Amino acid sequence: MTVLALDWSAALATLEWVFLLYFVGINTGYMCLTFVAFQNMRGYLPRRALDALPQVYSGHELPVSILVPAYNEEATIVATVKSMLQLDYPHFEIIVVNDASKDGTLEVLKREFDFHDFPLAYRNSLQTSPVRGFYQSARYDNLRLVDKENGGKADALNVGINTARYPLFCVVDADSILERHSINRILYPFLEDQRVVAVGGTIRLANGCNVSQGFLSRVDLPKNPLALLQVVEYLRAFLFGRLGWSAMGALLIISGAFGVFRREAVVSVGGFRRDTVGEDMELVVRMHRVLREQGRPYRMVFLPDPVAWTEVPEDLRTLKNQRSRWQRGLAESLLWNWRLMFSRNGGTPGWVAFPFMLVFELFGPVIEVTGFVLLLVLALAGAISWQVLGIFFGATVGMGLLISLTCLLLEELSFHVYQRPRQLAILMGMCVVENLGFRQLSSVLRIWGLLKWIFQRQAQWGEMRRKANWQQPR
Amino acid sequence: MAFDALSEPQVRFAIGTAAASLGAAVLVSVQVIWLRARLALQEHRSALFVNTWKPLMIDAIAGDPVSPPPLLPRQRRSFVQLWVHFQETLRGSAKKSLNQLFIEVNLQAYVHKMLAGGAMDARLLAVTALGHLGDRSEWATLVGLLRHPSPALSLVAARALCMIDASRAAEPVISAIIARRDWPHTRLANVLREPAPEFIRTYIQRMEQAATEGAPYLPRLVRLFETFSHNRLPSCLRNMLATSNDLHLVPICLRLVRDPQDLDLVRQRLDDPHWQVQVQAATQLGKLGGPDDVAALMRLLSSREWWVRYRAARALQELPHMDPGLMQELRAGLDDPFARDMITHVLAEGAVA
Repeated sequence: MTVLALDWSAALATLEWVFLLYFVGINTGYMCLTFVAFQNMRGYLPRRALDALPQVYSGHELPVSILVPAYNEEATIVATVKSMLQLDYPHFEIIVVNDASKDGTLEVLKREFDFHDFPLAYRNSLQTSPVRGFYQSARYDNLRLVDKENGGKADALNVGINTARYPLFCVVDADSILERHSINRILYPFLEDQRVVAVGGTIRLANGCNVSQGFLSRVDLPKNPLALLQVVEYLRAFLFGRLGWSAMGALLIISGAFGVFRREAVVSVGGFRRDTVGEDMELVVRMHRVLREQGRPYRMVFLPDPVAWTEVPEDLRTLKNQRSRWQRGLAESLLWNWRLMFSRNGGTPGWVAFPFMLVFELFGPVIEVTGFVLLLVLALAGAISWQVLGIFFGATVGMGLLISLTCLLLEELSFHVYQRPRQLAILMGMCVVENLGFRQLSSVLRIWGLLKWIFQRQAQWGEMRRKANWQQPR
Repeated sequence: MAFDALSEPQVRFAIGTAAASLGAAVLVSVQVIWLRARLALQEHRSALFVNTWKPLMIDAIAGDPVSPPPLLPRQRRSFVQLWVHFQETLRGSAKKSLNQLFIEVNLQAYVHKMLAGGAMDARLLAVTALGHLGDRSEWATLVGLLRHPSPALSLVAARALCMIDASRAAEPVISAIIARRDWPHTRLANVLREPAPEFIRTYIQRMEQAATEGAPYLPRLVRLFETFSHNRLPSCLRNMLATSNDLHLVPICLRLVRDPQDLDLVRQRLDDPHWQVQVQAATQLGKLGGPDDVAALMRLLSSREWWVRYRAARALQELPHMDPGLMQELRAGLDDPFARDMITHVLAEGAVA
C-alpha cells in the first residue's frame, strides 16, 4: 500500500507540472497572439479609410468563381444565392454544387432561378464522384448549378473547382450570407501580392439577424442562449486567433464557410481531400507542407472585415456533432501533414503554429478536462481544500475572461458590429458566462470528437438542423 | 497533491494570476465601455451635422446660393469628410461649386494642419481633399508622401498629384509606380483613369527605356499601360510581341493590342509553345480578327488545354461574321469530340448571354 501511495504521489506531482506548464504555455501563447493581432489590426484599419469612399471599378478586377456546395440546404439556399447575386463586384460567377441532397434543394433552386440544362465542357482536373448534370440559370448569366452523386463536401468543392472558369475561387457555405463588399475586400491581397494563394474572411453569427431579399437587413444578437455564447467564441477565434497567426505567416485554418483560393495552387496539391470532415483546414495545412517542400514562395492571409454571416447550432446535439467534426478534422489535418512540423523548411507554420495546434487545440481539451476533474476529485477526497480549488478555477476563468474581453475591445476598436448599448452589455455578460461552463462544455464535446476519431467512426457531411429564422418570408 | 497550503508556490502563482487577470479584465471592460460611450457621442454629433450640412452641399452642387452657418471647431473634420464624399461622386462644374463652399468655410489651413500632423485616417482625408481642391501649395509634401511606408497614403498622394497637375505629376508618380510594388493594380488603375497626354508620353518614354535596359519592373509598367486608352502599340511593345519569350510579358502585350495593323503579331503567337500565350492570342483574335482567322482558331480547338479550346471557341463565336448557324456548321465538320463539346458549350453560353 505504501508503494502504491508513493506512486500516486509521484504521478500527481508529474501531473501537477503538466497542468502548470500547459496553463502557462496556452496563456502565454494566447497573450502573444493577442498582441500580434492588435498590431496587425493597427496596420490594417487605416486602409479602410479608403474603403469608405465611393468605389469606382477600373475593369482590372480579378474575376472569381464562387463555389457553394449544398447538401440538404432547402431552407437557406435561395437566400444565400440571392445575397451572392447582389454582391458589389463586377466580375464573378456563382456555381452551386448539389451533392445529391435528399430534401428539395435541387427543386427550389431550379424553381427560383429558372435553371436549364447546360452542355458544359467539363474539365477533370480533380477526381470526383460522377456529375449528373449541369444547369445554367436563364435569369442570371453568372449563375450555374451542378448536380452530382453524393460524395461529401470536399468532393462537391472539387467538382466546383473543375467547373470554375476563373483563376480564383471562393468557397462559401450554403447557409452563409455574404456582405455586399466582402468579395471586393477579400480579393485585395491577391492584387497586392502575386504570392498570395489563399485568403480567409471572418465568420459572424446570422442567428438573431434579419435577412431580407438576400441582404442582411438587421444585425442583432441571437435569442438562443447557446448561440449567444458562441458570439464571443467566434470573435475570439477570428479577431485574435486567425489575425494573430496570419500576421506571423502561420495561418493553418481558413474557414470553409468563406475563403478564396488560387485555383492553380489548389489543383497542384490535389484539391480538397474527400476522406476528411475538416477539408478546409486539411487543405490549408497541406498547402503549407507541399508548397514549402517545393520551395515555392507563397502567402496565406486572414482579413478581419470581409464578413460572411452563418447560422450556428442552437441545440446541444447539433453543437456536439459540429464540435466533434471540428476536432476530427483538426486531428486528421495534423496527422496527415505531420511532416510539416519536422520539415527543414517548416518555418513558422511548421515549427510554431503546428505544435501549438497539436498541444493546445488537439490535446488541450483532454488536459483541461482532466485537470478540472482531478482537482474536483481531490477536493471531494479532501486531498486539497475547496479554497485551493477555487483559486485554480479563478486563475483559469480569469485568464479566459481577460482574453474574451480583449477580443471585445478589439472589436470595439475596429468594427463594433453590435451597435446598441444593450448588445454590448449582453456581450460583456457572455464573456463571463462563456468562461463559467461553456468553454468547459466545449472541451468535453471536443474530447468526444477525438475519441470518435480514434475509434474511426465514419464521418459524413456536417448536417445541421437549420432554423433559418433569420430569413424574412419572401 | 503537493499544494494544499496557500503558501505553496503553485498556489501563490495561481492567486497572482487570478488577481492580475481579473484586475486586467476589469480595466479592459472599463475601456470597452468608455470607447462605446465616446463613439455614441461622435455618432450623435455626426448625425446632427449631416442633417444640417448635407442639404447645403446639395444646394451648392446645384449652383444655388448657399449661406453656410458658422462651423464649430469640432465639426471641421465632419465637414471635410462629407465634402470629400460628395466630391468622389461628382464630375465637372459641380466639383467647382463644391470647392467654392470649401473656400467659404475657410478650411484650407485646417486641411494643411491635418496633413502635417494628423492620424493616418486624417492624413488620408487631407490628401484627398487637397486633390479635389487642386491645391498646389503642398506639392512638395505630396511628392514626399509618395515614399511613405503606408501604401494607402502614398497612393492617395499620387492620385492627388495627378488631380492637381497631371503633367507635372508624371515624373514623380511614374518613378513611384516603378519603385513601389505594394500599390494594388486596381487602385493604381483608378488613379490613372484619365491621364493627361503629357503623362502618357512620359510613361511611354519610361517604358521604352525600361525595355532597352531589360528592367525588372517592365512587366508592371506594361500591365498598367492597359489603363490608358491607346490605338497602335508603342514600338517597344511591338518589338516585345515579335521577339520576347517572357511568359508574363507576352500575354500582357497581347492584351494591349487594339489596332488591326498589329494583328500579324497576334497571329504568330497562336503557335506559341506556352498555352497561356495561346489563350491570350485567341482571345485577342476574337476581338480583332476576321474570316481569315477561322482555320487557325479551329486548329486550337484540338489543344490539350481546356482554356485554349475554350478561348478559341469563344474567339470564333465573337468574330464579326460569325453566327450560331455557322458555328453549328463548323462543329459538324469536327472529328475531335472535345472540340465539338467546346463549341456546344460556348454556343450555350452565347444563348444565355
